[in-house]
Amino acid sequence: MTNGIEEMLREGFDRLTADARAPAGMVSRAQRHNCRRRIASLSAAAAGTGMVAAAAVITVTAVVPQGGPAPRVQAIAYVTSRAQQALATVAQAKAIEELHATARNGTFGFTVLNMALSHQQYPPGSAVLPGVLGSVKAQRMTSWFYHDLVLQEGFSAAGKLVFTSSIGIVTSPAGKQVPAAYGAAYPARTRWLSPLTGPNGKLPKLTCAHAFPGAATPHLRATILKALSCKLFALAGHQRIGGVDAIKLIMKPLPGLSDRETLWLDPSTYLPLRTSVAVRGSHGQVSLLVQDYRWLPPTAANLAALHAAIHRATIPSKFRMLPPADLPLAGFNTPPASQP
Amino acid sequence: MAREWGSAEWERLLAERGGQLMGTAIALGGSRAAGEDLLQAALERVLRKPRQVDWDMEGYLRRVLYNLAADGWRRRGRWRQKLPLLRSEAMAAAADDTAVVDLRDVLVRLVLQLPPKQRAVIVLRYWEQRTEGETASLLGCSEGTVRSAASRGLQRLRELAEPSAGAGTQLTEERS
Repeated sequence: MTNGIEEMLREGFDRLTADARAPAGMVSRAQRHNCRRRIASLSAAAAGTGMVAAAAVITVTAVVPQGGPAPRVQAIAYVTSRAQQALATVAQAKAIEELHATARNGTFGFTVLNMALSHQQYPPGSAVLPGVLGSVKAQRMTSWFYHDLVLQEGFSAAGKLVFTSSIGIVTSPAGKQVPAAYGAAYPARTRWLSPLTGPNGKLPKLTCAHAFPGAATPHLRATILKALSCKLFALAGHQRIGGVDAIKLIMKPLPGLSDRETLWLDPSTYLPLRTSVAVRGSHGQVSLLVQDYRWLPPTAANLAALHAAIHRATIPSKFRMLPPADLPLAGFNTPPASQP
Repeated sequence: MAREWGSAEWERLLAERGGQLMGTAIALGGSRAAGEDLLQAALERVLRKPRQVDWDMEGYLRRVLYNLAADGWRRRGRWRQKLPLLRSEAMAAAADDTAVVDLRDVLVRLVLQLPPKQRAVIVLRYWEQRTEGETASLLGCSEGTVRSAASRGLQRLRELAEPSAGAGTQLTEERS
């Protein structure tokens, strides 16, 4: 036996590595890891450019439907942070937000506000005009949010367009570009064009008490972000949503609100996949609102699809025009609320 | 002519040379599990950017393997996490007078207590029998760095192994 340390090292290494064999499947495993890493890094690139963020959305849209990474034990703080980062990324990318809402034991219709009244410090209920558009009911609603544009379309169970409701920039009679709400309710043969300039156009500041994403608000991303920053969610494991092993979060009880919201996040992108909210009516009946989200990069194809949706719904000029002060807001109605 | 290496080519390389590559990874990592992790990480690295190649791809993979061991692990601080565990293993072996201590195995375990770059140099120089020039080229450093890392590494191994070696075993460095 030699005392030479080099020789002993060599022999030691020979013994350690005897019969070494590369396990099968290393290459395919490496490819899978790389794929997951690429998706995760793209979606987390909140600090990057809009193009990077857009690429993240594209990649996620293209790759993720087969399912994300294996479930991991995560802390709510980590999940919240990643979700906030992901939502900031799609905001930077100026992504098109698409939302498909369906309801059980409820419909989609309008709450019409008289803006002249709502502007005057009246209690909120006093500004609601319950008789206006009360008969308009849709079974599902699709919404798009892009830049300053909000487009909401209600459909019957048979897929017929029931209403179109938009908030966007229109040209006033004086030739100025002003924000306005406009749309039409086809069964009621009614249309509206309500300028949102001046104090009426101001939105109330979002607070934790109102950060309730399930309320079909037209400011979904901001509402979800607010709910996350208010730490309103708790982790509730994983659940398969559309083939994805989604991270499930349940909203903690809010003071004075019996409705409970569930939020599912894509485990690869941490973007919201779905929200659902169970709403208990005044007679104890429960309605369920489910909203599925898509976050689309503003590619030519996606913008063309949005453009097509905008022009799909024409607003006939022969329809009865609501007074300019009446502002119809599309949303989810539980049965008692939809029956004046 | 240059061609692009895809997964099929890497599969073939692993089928033919996987044993040797795995051996190197185990020597660098200190255990079969760590070696497997290391080789897996190196494969991920080389697969991340498919490239046109007209040269030795095993050499390319090895270079990544050595550098991951020398740099990546140090950055992640994994070797520091292993220190308490290894130290207690070595001390337990040294304290047991009745056990037949195989100094060769102890030495290999003690190599893990070295900083990653010293460890990589030790494996390349004393197990793979590479010259100082080859080692320097593979690790992307100067021959002087290799010399000093090897010298310091061996010196440290001597210090660490002294309790295990016992009174009757004298460790000397064989110079070639």
